[in-house]
Amino acid sequence: MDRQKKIRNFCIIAHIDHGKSTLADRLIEKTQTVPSRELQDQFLDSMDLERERGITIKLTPVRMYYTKDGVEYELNLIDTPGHVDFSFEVSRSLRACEGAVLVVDSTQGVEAQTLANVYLALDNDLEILPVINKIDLPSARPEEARKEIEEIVGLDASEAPLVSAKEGINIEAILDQIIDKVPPPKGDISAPLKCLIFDSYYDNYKGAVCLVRVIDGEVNAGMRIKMMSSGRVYDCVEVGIFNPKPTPTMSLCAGDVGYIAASIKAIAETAPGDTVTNADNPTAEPCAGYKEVQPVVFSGVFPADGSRYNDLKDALERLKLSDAALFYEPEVSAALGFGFRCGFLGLLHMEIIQERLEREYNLDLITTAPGVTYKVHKTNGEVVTVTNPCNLPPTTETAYIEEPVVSAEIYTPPAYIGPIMELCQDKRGIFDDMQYLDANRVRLKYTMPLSEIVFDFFDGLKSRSRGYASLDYDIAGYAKSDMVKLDVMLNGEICDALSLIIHRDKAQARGRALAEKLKEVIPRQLFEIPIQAAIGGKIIARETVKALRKDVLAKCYGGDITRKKKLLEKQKEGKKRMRQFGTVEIPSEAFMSILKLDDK
Amino acid sequence: MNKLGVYIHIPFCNGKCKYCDFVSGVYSDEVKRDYFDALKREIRDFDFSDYIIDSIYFGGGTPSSVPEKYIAEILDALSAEKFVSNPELSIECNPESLSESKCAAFSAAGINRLSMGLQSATDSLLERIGRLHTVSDFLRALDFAEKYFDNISADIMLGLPEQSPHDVKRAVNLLAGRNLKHISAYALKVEEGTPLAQSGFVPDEDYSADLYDLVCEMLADYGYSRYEVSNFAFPNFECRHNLRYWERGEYKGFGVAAHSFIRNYRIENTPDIGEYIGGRREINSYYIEPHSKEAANETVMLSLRTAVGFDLDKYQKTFGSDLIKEKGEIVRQLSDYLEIKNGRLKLTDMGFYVMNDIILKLTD
Repeated sequence: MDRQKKIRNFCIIAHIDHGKSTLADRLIEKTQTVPSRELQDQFLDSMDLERERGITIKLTPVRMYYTKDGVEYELNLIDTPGHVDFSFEVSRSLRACEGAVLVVDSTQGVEAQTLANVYLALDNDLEILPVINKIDLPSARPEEARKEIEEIVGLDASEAPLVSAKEGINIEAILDQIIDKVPPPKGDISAPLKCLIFDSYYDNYKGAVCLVRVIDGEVNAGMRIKMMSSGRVYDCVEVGIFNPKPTPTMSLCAGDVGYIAASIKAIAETAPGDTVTNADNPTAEPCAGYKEVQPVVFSGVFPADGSRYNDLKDALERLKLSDAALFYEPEVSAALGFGFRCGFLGLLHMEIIQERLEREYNLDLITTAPGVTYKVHKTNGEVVTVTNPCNLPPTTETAYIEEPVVSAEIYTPPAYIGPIMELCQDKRGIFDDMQYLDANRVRLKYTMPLSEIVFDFFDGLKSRSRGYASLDYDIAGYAKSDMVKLDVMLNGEICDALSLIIHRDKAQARGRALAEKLKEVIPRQLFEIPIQAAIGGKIIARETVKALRKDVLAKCYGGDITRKKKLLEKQKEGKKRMRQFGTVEIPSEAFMSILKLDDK
Repeated sequence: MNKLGVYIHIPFCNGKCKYCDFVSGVYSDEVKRDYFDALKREIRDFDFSDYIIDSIYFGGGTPSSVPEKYIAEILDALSAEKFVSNPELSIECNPESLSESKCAAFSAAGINRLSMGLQSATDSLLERIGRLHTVSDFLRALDFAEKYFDNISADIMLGLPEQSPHDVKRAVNLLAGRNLKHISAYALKVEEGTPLAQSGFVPDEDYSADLYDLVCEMLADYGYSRYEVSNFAFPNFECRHNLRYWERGEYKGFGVAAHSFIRNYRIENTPDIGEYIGGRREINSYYIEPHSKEAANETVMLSLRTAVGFDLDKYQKTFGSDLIKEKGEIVRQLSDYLEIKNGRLKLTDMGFYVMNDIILKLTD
C-alpha cells in the first residue's frame, strides 16, 4: 500500500476539563509510543504551567504507530490549545489535519468552546469523530450527550464510542475509527514543496524549529527552503518527526507531520500559518489563511526592583523566541522607571507570560492595568492607535475615540440568564440574540467592548452562573465610544502608571474605588498624601493618607537599643520595595492591588 | 576618667501587669536572695577602675517590692567605687509596695530620686490592665515619699483600653499639680504574648498620638519641657541616667536581661533568671568601632530622641564626615522636621512624629 494512504492526521477538540489531555495520554500509551515508565500524566503539556493549570498552551505533535488488520498506520496527533485566547492557534493546527476527535464529557454535554472549535473544524473540512468520555462517572449521561451532539452540533453520533480516558476504557475503538473514518492526506508528492507551519518552538542548539504539515512535495536536509511570507531563504539542516521526542528522518513527504530545523535565529522568522517551500522550485500558491498574530491586550510590565531592567529585557527576548504572539516595546514611566509595554492575545496569555517571567526567570514584576488598543480620531483628521493611556492625545485634539468590540457568545443554563444579562448590560454589552438550544441551554449573543471583557468579565460570568456559563468571543471591529482618561494624582502629581482609559459612565465609580484602595495600600508617611482621581482636570474622588504620627509612641527602655535598631533595619528593608514617586513612597504591591478592584 | 551610669535590674513584682513583657515576675524569697547574691557577685567582678559613677538606676520589675535591705546591700557593694559629687540615684517604685519605712530606708541608703508608676487616674482602668494599686494608693504613697524625696518622677500610660482624654487630663493634673519634678508618658505598646495581646486589644495609633499631644500641651503649660520623646521635666531635673542612653554615654547594666554599653561594646545579659543565678551573664556582646559608620548611625538614631539633638561639629570630628554636606539636600527638604540650632541638629515638634523615617534618611 502507498505510504501516504497509511497516514492519519488528526487533532482532539474538547472543552477544558473534558479530558483531552488524558485521552491523548491514553492514545500514546495504547500505541506504545512512550515506554510506560516514562509516561507521566498529560504528556503533551510540556510546560509545568500547563500541567498545573490543566490547560494546554503549546501544541506538541506526536507520531504514533497502530496496526489494524495487519497494516501498520502512522497516526499524527496534533494537540490543540483549549482556551479562547488561543483560538488562532487552534485554527492553524486544524488545517494540518484531516480529522478531529470531538471529546464530549458525558456528565456535562456540549460546551460553548467546543462548539466554536467544531465549527472551525467543519470550516476546514475535517472529518469529525465524536467520542463520549467519562462514562465511568456515576453522573454520566451518555445517551443525553449523544443526543446533544446530534441536536446542537448536528453530527451523527450513533457510532460515537463510549469511553473513559481516565480508566482506559474503549480506547481502541477511537483508534479504529480514526483509521476507518479519517481520510488519508491527499497531497501530491511530486509537486513542488508546500508546507504549512502550524507552530514553532525554540531550541538552544537548533534555533527556531518549525512544526509543519507537508501539503505537497518532499523536504529533506540540505534543501534550500523559503518562507513565503518574508521570502527569506534558509538551508534546511534537519527534518524529523516527534516520536514523541524529536527524531531525525531522511525526509518529510506530502501528508507527513514533523519538524524542519534550518538554523533560524528567532521564532519570529517562523510565523505560524506561513508556508515553507523549496527555494529553487517554489510552489505557486502559499497555504491559505495566513494572518499575523495581533495582540489585543496590553499592559506595562516593570521589574519590582528597578535595577533588574536588563534581566527583564533578556527574559522577554528569550520568551519571544518561543512565543511569537508576545509583543513588547520599551516603556518609561515616571513612577515605575524603565520597563516594557507588552501585548498579549488575551488575559490568560498575559497571566501566563507574567507567571513564566516570575517563575522561570525569577523576576518580581509590577504590572499596570491591562488595556486594549484604541483608535483615536483627531480633529486634524489623523488617526492614531493608542495602547498606553499616557499616549492618549489631549481631548482638545480629539474628535472621537473608537474601541475594539467583540461578538461574544455565552452559553448558559436558562436559570442564569437574568444575572448574566445584567452583567453584560453593566459591561456595556449590546444584546444581539438569544436562542434556546434545548431545554437546558441558551446561547446569548452580545456585542461587547473588549476592554470590559478584559476587566474581570470572565470572573463575573463564572460567579453569576456558578461556573456553568461559558464564553467565546471574536474581535468584531471597532465602535465609537465615549472613552476618557482616568488619572490618579498622588500629592497633586499624575502617577502615570495608574492612569487608564475607561468609558465615561464607569469613570466615576472606578475613580472612587481606585482612590479608596490606594488609601488602604499606601502606608502613612512623613506628610499627608492627597490621593485624587481625575478626568481631564476634574477631580472626581479624593482620599487622604494621613501623615505618620506613631514614632512618638515608641519607647526605648533600660538601655536596650537593639530593638530599635532591628525596627529601623526592618523599615529600611521595606523601603527597598517602595517606588519613589516625587516625595511619595509607593509600595510595589500598591500597583498590583488595584488591578483587581470590585467595580462597585 | 569616664562617667558611668549603673543600671540594676530587679526582676521581681507582686503581680504581672497585663501589658508587661519585661523580664520580671513573682518569685519566692529564696530566688530573691539568690538573685541578689548573684548581682553582688557580678558587681564585684566588674572592673570600675576607669570609671566614676554618675548615676545608679534600680529598674524592674518593681524594685520597691523586695525587702529594702537588698537595695541597701547593692548600694553598699558599690560604695567603694568612685562617685561624682552629686550622683543621681533612682529607684522605680509601685504604690502598693512602697511603705513609709521603705522610703526612709531608701533615703538612708543614699537614693535621691524616686520614680513611681501611676499609669492612669481611673481605678477601673488600673484594674483592667492588672495594676495592683488604686489612685488613692498612689496618692498615699506620694504623700510619704515627698517627706523623703524632693526629686520624684511618675509615669503615665497613653492609649490604654477605653482610656478617655479625661483620664489623661486627670492624671496630668494630679501629677503636675503636685509639682513633681519629672513625668514620663509612654504609649501602651501591645507586646506579643502578653495577656493584653491575647485579649485582642489593638491600640489606635491616632488616638494614642492625640493623647500624647494632649499631654505635651498640658505639661508645657505647667512649665515642664520635653527633653526626650517620652520624658518631661522641670529645668535641671532631666533624668541623667536616662539621657546617658541617648547621648551614647557609657552604662553598665547588672542583673538578668540588663544591657550595657561599655568600652565600645554593646552587651546583653541572659534573660533567664535561673541561668543568671547559676553564674551566666553575657549572652551577646559586639564591638562598635568608635569612629565607624555604625557608631555615627547610632548617634543619629539615639540623640534625635532628645530635644537637643546632637552637635554637628562633634559629629564631624568623631566620624570624619560632614553630615550637612552629605545630607544637605535631605535636611533642606525636611525643613519642617529638622532644624539646626546652636550647631546642633534636632527634630522639630513635627519631626518627632516621623522620627524613624528621618533617621533612615540621615543614616546609611
